[in-house]
Amino acid sequence: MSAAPRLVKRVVRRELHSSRSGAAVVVALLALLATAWIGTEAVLAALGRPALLLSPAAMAAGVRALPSVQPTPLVVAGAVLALVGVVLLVLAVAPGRRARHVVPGTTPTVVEDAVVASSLVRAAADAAGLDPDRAVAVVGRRSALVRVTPTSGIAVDRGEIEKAVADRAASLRLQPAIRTRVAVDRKGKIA
Amino acid sequence: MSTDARGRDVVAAKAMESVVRAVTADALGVASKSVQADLDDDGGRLAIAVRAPIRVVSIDRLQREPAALERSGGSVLDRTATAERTIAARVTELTGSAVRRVGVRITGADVSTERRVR
Repeated sequence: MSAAPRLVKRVVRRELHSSRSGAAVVVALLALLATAWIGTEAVLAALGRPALLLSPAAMAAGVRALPSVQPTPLVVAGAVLALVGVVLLVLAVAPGRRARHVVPGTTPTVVEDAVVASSLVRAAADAAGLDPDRAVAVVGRRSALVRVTPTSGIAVDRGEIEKAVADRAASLRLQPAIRTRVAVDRKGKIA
Repeated sequence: MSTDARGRDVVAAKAMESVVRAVTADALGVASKSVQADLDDDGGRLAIAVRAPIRVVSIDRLQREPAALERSGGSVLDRTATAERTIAARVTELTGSAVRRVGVRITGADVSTERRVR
């Protein structure tokens, strides 16, 4: 159709995954500043000019003297650095999926999971003859759970709700498809 | 979808309470105003707790006419037990809600002459 399939795929992927450009830019900027500073200090030292902050020789001396520094601040600094490292590692490796699904087709549609949840809630409420605020849905990537709170004294048919919710989920034609489960609260509510 | 054609019927908690009060008042022979009703859920069914006075036959009348006690439905306890069953049955009948238990707490006596009933 209008857009090239590869471009469409790319756009959809971008919509489904969160961008890591922010973290990447921050890390790159910090690395750039650090190397630029060390470079500048090296050049200044080679020219015999006074250092901006620390001369390379002083840096090396500092590193050698690390074991003589008090352990507590050293450990704290190390822990902070390790934490930053772990965060960056997770950002790099985790899929970064957003709570969205695609409806594939010639023009793919990206749907927020909140919209999917509200649709499932409506289906469940209609099937149970309850107000929509009596049902809540949690939508994951491949599964969804709908919890229904019945009205006291009026039994609901779990099978019927299950069927209605499953039908609705199927009719949305989401990718990846969602398996649905329905739970009926043991305790009802007075109207 | 066939389910879309169907509407939703919601009975508000207040309405449920009014029904319970009216039914209780009727079962105990007192005014609906004097009845307090508490509704709760017990495993998906209704749990009803009511507090109400009960109509009793005056001693004067009882001395003149001992049969009045039998006619009014027996002792207060008997009548309360009967009222519990009546309330459960009639609430279910009127609202379609299943009732698990009914608790009646008699808070007073309403001494007045019997009405002529149908």
